[in-house]
Amino acid sequence: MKEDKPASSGEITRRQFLAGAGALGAAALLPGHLLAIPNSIPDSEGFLVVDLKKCQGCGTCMMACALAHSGAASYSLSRIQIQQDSFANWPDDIFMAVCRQCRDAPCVAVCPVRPVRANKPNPERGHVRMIDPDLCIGCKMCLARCPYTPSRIQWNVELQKSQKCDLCVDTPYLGEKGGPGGTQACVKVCPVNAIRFVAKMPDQGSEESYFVNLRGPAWSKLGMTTQ
Amino acid sequence: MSYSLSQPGESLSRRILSPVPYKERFPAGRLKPPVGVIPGDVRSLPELHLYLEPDEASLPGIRLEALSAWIEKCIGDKDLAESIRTIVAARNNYVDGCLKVHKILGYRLDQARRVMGESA
Amino acid sequence: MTSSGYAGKILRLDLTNRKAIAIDTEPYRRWGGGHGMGSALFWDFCKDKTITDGRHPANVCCVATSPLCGTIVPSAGGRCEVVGVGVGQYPVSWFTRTNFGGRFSTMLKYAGWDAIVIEGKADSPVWIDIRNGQVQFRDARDLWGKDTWATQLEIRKRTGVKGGAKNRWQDLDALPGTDQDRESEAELGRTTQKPATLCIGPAGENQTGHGALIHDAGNGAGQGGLGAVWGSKNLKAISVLGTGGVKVHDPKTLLQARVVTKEKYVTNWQAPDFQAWTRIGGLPKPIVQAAPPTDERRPQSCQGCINGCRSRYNVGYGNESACQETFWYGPYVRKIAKNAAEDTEINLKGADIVQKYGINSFVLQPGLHWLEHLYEEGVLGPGRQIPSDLPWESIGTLDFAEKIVHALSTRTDIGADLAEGWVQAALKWGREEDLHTGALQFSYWGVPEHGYDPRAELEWGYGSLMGDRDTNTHCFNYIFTNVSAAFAFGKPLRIGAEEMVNLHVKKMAPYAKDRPEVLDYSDANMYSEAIAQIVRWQQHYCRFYKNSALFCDLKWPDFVNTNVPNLEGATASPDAGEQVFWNAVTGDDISFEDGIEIGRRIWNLDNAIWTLQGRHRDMVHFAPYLYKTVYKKGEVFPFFMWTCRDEKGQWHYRDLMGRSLDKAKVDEWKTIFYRLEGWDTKTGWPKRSTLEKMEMGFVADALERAGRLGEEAS
Repeated sequence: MKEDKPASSGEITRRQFLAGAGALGAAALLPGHLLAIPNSIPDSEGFLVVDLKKCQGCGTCMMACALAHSGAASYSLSRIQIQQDSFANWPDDIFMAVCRQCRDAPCVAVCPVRPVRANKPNPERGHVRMIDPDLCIGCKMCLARCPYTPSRIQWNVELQKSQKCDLCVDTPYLGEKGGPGGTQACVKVCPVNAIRFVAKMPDQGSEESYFVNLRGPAWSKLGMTTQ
Repeated sequence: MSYSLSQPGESLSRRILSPVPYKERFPAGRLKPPVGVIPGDVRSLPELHLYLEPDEASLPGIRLEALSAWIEKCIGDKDLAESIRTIVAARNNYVDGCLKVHKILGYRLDQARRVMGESA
Repeated sequence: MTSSGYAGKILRLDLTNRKAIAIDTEPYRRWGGGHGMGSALFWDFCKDKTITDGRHPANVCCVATSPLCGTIVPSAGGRCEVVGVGVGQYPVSWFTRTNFGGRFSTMLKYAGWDAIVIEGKADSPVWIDIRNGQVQFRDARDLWGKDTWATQLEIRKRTGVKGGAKNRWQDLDALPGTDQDRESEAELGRTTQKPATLCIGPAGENQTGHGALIHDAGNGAGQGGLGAVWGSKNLKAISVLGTGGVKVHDPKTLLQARVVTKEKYVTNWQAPDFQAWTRIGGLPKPIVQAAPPTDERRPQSCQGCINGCRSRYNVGYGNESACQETFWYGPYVRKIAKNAAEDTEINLKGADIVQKYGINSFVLQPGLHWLEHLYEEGVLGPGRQIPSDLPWESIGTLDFAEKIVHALSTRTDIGADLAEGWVQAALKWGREEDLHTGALQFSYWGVPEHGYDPRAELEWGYGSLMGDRDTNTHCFNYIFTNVSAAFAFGKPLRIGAEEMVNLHVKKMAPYAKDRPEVLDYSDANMYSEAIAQIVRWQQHYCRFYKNSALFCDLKWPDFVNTNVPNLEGATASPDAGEQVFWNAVTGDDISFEDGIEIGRRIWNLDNAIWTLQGRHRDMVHFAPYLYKTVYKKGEVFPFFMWTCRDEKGQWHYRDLMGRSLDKAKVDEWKTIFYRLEGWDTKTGWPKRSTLEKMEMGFVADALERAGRLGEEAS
């Protein structure tokens, strides 16, 4: 069990936070809007959009994501999640969960770490919302606060920290520059190009705005619908 | 496309649309990679027509040269047999032959079905 | 100790005592993974290697992954190998293999296991519930009798994982059935995935020789009767949830090689070459009978595949099925289908039937043709010499398909005799002549001819004969399919015969390197040393790269690739060859040829097991029809084109139909093969000198104790 570092003024240690959360009781787990701190963070300069009807369910994006970030292929540590049900029919058999790089990102808003949040936009890399593993205290607030199913934040059991899609900003094993303007591992490896990086923010008012049609006449020539 | 095949009579139309006994079946395999060559046979002209319907992923396997004799002997349709004999002799390649036989078969089956009052 | 690519542990399941034991992977690392690891585990844990029926309680069944499983190695991340003594072959069920795709091997690796060793027999039906390191034996008495899909759905429910594709993260610790009293307090982790389950249906439960193992909707390990092995052990299913990962030695190189494969060797689906000659470089297309039933579908694949060979549709049938399970009924469906749409529908629903019953549909490909022949000849049917109340007059309908599969799976009607093996049934029914005339085309070891007749495609026939089963290794036979299709369409050949063989043998070190004669299948060369070398090369390549490293048989090897300007395929290439991926994942430094050598060792271990089972060269024969009848030209296809040399040494594509095999010459050829392998030519048994050079002296010792060690002097 790790020893807590002595707190200096303004810092919140994990123990202090958890003690506070205990005092707050259930309030700590209430929906984020009750604890909302107004966000005035710059928009991300990049987003991933996906075509739910196109994905072949090969999981290569997941394995490549984990590999590029950590040097190990994994589903649980992938920052993009592809879920599938072998016994369901198209198009309800696959769901692709990508982080939306939300404008008013609740995961950023809820991060309790101070003076600098662990989960915040990176001003040097297109304001990508990303978690700094050195600052993360493993409180799981961001994980719980993500309003989407499945949560777009993952829990690293070994490190006891949260992690999320950073558009490949911090990918020591990718061999290329990531982030907006750079390469995203999932986009690069997808055999059918079911994931695309876009600079324009999709409509924040709808979940479906990130689900786009990436097929076209060539897809139709392969005998599959473009509808 | 029209062919110089006169309308068959009722008796011949019935035979055109009916299966032959097992002993008179015509060998017909199929090449479907990666499974390979799958054995089979056909026992009727409607079955043969479906068998020769083109698809992107497999090829029918029959002896086109032997088809006319089978049609003549086992179905009894001399006119069709002769037309197919001509087509096969003039084919550009095997698939060309199969496609042209498929077409004329379709025409002949339609003729027979009209005679028998069946829908195509 | 964990090495890159490996999980580090192997799970031994003692079904008799319902115990799970973890052992170290390290001693088995030298065998690679998959088949090699499985054979070595079988060697160590099967106490009676003389058994010749897989239902014997001493049988050990291994389910083995490779270091590449769970990684992005193209078309290698998702396969899984199963080995053990089989059921239903003739005259002996050899130690054999089968293989399946999907998600299972990935999930098993992420759960922290390289392989599973299944030993003993449970006293009542069980299913094994693996959640990372936690392994539990669960009561499967109320699962017994369910089809494979119902089984998996029920197991899903019991693990508390919801259906549908959009679900929350699940904490494994919070799932029902997690052992809260387990030793380690570490969190098990979280996942959005469903359990990956491998199970048997009625065909395996009833221990029939065609019992298969099924995973998800359409992944089947069909050959060898391993489903019957599970049935004999009262093992209904193994399900796995894994939240870990696979450490990769050189992730950058792996990512780079993956991207190179996509960009250089695979046709760009957005501007494809529909007629590309390649194995890995094709398009995501389902390999199904005729046209897919709808365009409202997606491609679907095993984990890590670079172009999927299946589909999921919106029509409610045929999902994940591809290849042979969608063809077995084709010739009969056409007899009753009114049009192509109905033809497709019945065939795909026929695939669903075989998946649910968990049956190897390959037996039906030549087998149903034979049964129909017996029915039409008046020998089989209600009240006949071979009694059968199946509705034979309705063959081709879905109803008949269900009824015959049901009979085969439940040992009812003719299924009672066929369950023990088709050749065995033929002999029991007094139909031995059918093996001589070719009415029953079960070509070797009592298993069905695949679709590549041994009289034409030599490496396929010989490789099956010298091994344990239908080799089912498509390394070379796109030569036949691509070239024959080109001839059929009257199209110019993209690659001439001489260039074709040279592109191959460039990479076929050590035995066939720069020896184009190994691909000369002409009559003059069909019993030669050169042919023995290609058979050796193929079996060794496959034993390591495909059966152990688990590169998919559909995509590898890629010798020839028209997507690449110089036509050289990905196999053995310095940028995306098999060895590049192996080394990037494991940290090994093998050459492509080193992999062939590992395969040779595995092949030798297998032969040692067969020898202990009683194998002798005098048993090694094709079915009689291959010697007594010719491969008739045009009856199943107009030609069988292959590379041949003429008397002047010029290369051509020639038609190989119209010939038979000469039994005496095959027997002489066997002698050449044994000599090249370093086996006793009098018996086919391994020799000590051969084994010791491969650091397998312990194998020689066992053979010597059994009185079955090959003589050095031969």
